Amino acid sequence: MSRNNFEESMERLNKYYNEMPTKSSSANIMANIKKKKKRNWSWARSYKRWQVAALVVFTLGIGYVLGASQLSGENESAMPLESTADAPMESMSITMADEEHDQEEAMEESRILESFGNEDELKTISIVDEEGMEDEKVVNKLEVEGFSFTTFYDANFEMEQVSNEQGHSVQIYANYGDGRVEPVLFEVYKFTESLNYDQQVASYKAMMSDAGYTEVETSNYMTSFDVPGQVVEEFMFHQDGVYVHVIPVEHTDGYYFMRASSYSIENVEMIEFNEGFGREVRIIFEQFNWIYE
Amino acid sequence: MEEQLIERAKKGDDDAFQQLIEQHLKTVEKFAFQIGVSPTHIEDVTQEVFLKVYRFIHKHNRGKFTTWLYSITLNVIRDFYRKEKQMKRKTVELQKYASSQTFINDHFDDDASELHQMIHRLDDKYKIPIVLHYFHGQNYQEIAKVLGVTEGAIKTRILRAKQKLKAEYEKVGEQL
Repeated sequence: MSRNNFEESMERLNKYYNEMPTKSSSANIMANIKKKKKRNWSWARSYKRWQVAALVVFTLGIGYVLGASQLSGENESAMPLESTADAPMESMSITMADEEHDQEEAMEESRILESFGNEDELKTISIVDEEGMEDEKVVNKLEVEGFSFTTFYDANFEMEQVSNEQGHSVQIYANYGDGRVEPVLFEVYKFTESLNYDQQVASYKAMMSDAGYTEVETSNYMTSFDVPGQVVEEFMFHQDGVYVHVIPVEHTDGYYFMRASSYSIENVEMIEFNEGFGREVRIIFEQFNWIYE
Repeated sequence: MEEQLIERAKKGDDDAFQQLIEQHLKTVEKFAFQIGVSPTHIEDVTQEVFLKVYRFIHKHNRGKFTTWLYSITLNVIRDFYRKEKQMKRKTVELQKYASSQTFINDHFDDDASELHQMIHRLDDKYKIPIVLHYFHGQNYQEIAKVLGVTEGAIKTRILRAKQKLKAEYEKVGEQL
């Protein structure tokens, strides 16, 4: 196949692509966006009204309590002043509430787009366990500055952020009620240092080695899940009956080193956690959403 | 012009945003189809892409808009098929294939159809750079930004993709 023929064939194919009819319409897309926005907007407005009402009741309540305590400490001759003393307090409270209301209105306006489509911090999801039984789970939102993604994890688990000289990580530890289960159930590490991909991989491996782990042949544990994003490759490390599985995932702002753990067969104390750990990682991946900046 | 539209859209001007959709609708649909989205899903994917653009446009402040748009489209496609796979609807795969085949038969001649299928069979690693380069006029640097890899890696991938396509053609005994 000559170079020219190849180029011509690609050019010809491109013409076909360009002649393909468009399936969507900008009006429909915009209408759907507006519909979703309206749904969030009406929720935000009712929530805001409730907040303002609560603020007014609260400030009036404080005014009343302060007024009452002032009254009880004064003699009867001071009583005629009660109404005049309370009036400014009340009007001040209302003015404050109005100002707060205006401020909130402005903030809400600017925030509405940002929060549009955002999910709550805590939610209940339906899951199917290993035996195929449906169940529900309360999950917590994971959103960390500097990381261009959000996801959800079991609300009973522990989240921790750790930084070192080369980067920053967010870690999720399982906790089934008897304290934190080591090692980390799921971790995302991102290099803040300016390194190319190969340098990042070398540094990551050096960190694992420093932590006492030895690299072994991967079992492709992580890629057996539906990983959100473009996985470059998979690594596996081992230490004292614990396997650490790592995948660098490409995103527009760099590589995210995602890590999960499993236990080897000789680790009789911990191997029972394997199934549960896998289920939790799957949930984290299912709930995963990239942010684009 | 586009920059002004983006700025207006960032400030909440829905008319400006709709104009942006109009300008880029064809690009998103075409790219989605070339990457392997079934014609029956193109509308859903396109809707999701522009929903994400709407949500995050106020955060877009660096680089070309189209580069950012291609990245979003790629991730939406990945998410879409990941979620679909989770539902384990195997029949959908068959329907998807049948629907794509019918669509290609209706719109492409045999040679174009053959080449489209060959590109479609390439790994994403090769397919995405070659599609962006040949059908979207993106240079190596721009593709590198979309995929978050080096320009050198893109050059290598495009070269290998061309070699693979050539080999594929030789295998079926045809000459381009």
